[in-house]
Amino acid sequence: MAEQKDTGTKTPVDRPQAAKAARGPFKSIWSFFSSLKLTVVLLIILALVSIIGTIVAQDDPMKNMDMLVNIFGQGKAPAVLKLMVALGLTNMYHSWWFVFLLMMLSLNIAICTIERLPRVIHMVMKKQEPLTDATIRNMALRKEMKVKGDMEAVAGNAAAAIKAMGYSPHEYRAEGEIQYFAEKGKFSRLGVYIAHISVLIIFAGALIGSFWGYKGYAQITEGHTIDKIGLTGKPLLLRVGSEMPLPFQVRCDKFQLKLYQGTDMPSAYLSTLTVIDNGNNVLTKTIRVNDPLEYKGIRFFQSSYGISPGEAAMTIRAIAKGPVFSVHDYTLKRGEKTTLEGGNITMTLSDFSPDVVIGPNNQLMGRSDQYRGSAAAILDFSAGGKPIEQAIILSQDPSSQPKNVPFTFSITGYSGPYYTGLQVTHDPGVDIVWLGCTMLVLGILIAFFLFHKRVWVRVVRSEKGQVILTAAGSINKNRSVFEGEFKRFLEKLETRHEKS
Amino acid sequence: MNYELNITFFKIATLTYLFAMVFYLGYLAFRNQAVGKIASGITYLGFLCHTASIGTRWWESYQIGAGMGHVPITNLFESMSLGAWTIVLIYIIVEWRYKNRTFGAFVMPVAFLAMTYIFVAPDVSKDIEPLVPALKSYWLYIHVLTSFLGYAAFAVSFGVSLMYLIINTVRKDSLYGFWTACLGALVVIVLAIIADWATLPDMQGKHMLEATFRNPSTGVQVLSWAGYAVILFLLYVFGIKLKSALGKFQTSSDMLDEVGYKTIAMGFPLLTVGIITGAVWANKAWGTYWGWDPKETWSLITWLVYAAYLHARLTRGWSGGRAAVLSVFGFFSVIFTYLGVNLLLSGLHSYGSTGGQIDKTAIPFLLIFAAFFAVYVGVCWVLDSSSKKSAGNQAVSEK
Repeated sequence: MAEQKDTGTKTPVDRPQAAKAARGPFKSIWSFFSSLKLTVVLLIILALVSIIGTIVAQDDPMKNMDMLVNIFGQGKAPAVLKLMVALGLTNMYHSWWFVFLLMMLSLNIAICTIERLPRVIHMVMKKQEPLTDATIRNMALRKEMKVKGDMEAVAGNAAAAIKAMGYSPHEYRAEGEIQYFAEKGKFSRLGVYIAHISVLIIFAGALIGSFWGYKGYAQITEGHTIDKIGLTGKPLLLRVGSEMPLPFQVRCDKFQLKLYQGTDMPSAYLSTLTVIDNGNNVLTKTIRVNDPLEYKGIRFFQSSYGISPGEAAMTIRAIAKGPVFSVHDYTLKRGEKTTLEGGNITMTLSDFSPDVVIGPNNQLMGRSDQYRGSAAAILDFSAGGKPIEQAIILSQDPSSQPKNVPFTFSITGYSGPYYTGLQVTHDPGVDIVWLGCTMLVLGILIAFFLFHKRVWVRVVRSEKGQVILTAAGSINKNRSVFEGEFKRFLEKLETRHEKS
Repeated sequence: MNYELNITFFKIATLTYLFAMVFYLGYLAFRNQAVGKIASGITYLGFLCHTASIGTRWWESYQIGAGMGHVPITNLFESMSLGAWTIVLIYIIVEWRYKNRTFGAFVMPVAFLAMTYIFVAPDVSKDIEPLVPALKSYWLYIHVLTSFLGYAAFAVSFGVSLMYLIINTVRKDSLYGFWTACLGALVVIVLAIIADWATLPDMQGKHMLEATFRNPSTGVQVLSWAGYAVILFLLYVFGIKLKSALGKFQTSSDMLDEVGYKTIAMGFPLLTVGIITGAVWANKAWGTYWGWDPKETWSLITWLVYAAYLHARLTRGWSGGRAAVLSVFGFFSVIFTYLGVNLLLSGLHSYGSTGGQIDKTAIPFLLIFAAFFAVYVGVCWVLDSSSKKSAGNQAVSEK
């Protein structure tokens, strides 16, 4: 087996013994999944196929169609798109084959862990054993020296040197032999397994989320209350329609848009929400982006805003054309009428839109509910119950005016209560995902930066009556770091003993 | 009042990195210790200016007032500047730790490229901009910082791995072609950016590489491609000289291999924390911790490539050339995660993109990347299976 070169002790990580003796279908499946070769293959396949979903737009057939028409032309594009849909490329990360790959990886991790973890736990639980003539030869780091003095004194000094390195030594005595040994960080051997199990925990959390979690949206006008949301992401294991009732009610008290001083760039969107449970106001919170409201596991995120279309009013300015100059502003809701000052003409605001574009056939098309200088209003004028004419007023075109009315009109405002647009989610798996993430980071840090270090000092009396001291050390990885520490340890030992 | 002190420092730092790069190359060519020391000195100076640029930008954002003050890591210009800064920082640490200046010639071009790129790239605003509400989160700062430290560690691993390949291949090796192609692409991009800088007086509204590969004149385009071919050919023919020049430093291959691995061992946990803090932030802002948006997916691809590297190395004994090639691929993936996604694909992170449409040039690039990677890993796999014993012995004998 190829051993990484800075590994001090040899741990058979690949091709465990059990797999070699595998017979029968179950055992051959087991041995297939216990291979670390499979891990590397799966990681690389996952990396490669994941690229596809970053090129092919996910859940966006319009965009894909555009791209395909661009590449294959109008004729072939629909067929290619059909093929892509059939292969699951347009919703790749939820397609059966991608989920299958993730399941393979999970099985691989699980079986590798089951196969190896018990042995590692055994190794961690096992007490450090004294050196024997046989094991001493396997030590990557060792040094033997003949020293003067009596065995007890030499061994005592060795114990002190081990303590001075920050280890707490154990003693072992046998006929003509004293040993002191100590170890540090043996639990770091578990780091790798913590990291791998954590990946399974993250997957479990994600599965729980997709089985029972949901995603939706809600628009609440200031002062209004909702008790249900529209769904955009449905739970896999619950039968629900396109709407989901909430187990409580939510009221929007206020929406505020804050701008950076002296600019028109938004600095914060603030919605004050109150949760009403069983008729009681139980919770009020002002949410903003990055700071949602959470109640009974359901979270409300600031997502959009606007003036509530149903209750919006438009302000129309009328300037008299006649000999007496006069300016009047009329703020009207949809369908409201008013009598223009200084005359008997009635003006009705039949319809309006805060944001329109002029379409290819000169028709007006609503674009959004944001008022930004391209509004349109349809005004009907009448006198004494008889209609005079209908006019369309555009903010962008001051020449669009009625002909038979002695006023000039313009749109000067759009107002009304705001609605706040909320993203609503419920994800019962999210805490499990965070648990997995924390374990992953801890596991990786332990696996890379903590080591299982062991030192031994063995003092024996040789047949000639000399006192021989043997120091040995081992580390489970990153030997170069340990070599320095071992060298300092030897120096400490040497200063305490005169060589004979 | 204009708050542009940070830009001045930025320009000085960029120029200084260019000089550092030249001196590191000179150090490689002439093996003169004094040249090497000058190179390091210039690097430290550039790093100081660069730090000053980030510091003054932070300070200036508060001077503007109106609640605009923020840590300068939130638009493309700021994040790329931070990226180059972390690369130089990690390089300085490695240079000091391993007492070896030869890596500089490979790492400094990356920093210089990053800096010049954002300086000349079109539609990259260098102004201090107010933060949009979604970016106001401490998780964002941790996310950006850890991701960048991880990227920087990978960049250093990339430089060192390239050097390993240069030293350890002869012309008949397949890997010789691999590193000459990689180095050739880098050299061509540096030259093309310098050409942009030199010939176009005002880069505003121009595309990157407009002076050469994207020149409106077909003749210049053809010439550019011909130049590219010539550079590749020259590198292929004279690459052996570069090898012998580098060989004279007697940098131990084992050390390069080790630095290549250790920087990845540093970068991997950082990238992991970066991805996770990004997920925490997304969960706070949109209520979804993972949405398979292209940026997220590419960061996962990068993570998977380095995870494959670590598994192949720690359990299959892949070290030396094969590990170095994986490190090079890993870094291509890093570059794509960081830049390619913003410039070519679209998604939530598209602060640098100019539109929602997918750029058609992305597709052949990605296909070539994937095919190259798959073929390479496949070949290694076959070799791994057929000569596992000898590879194992070799790895053990390196002790």
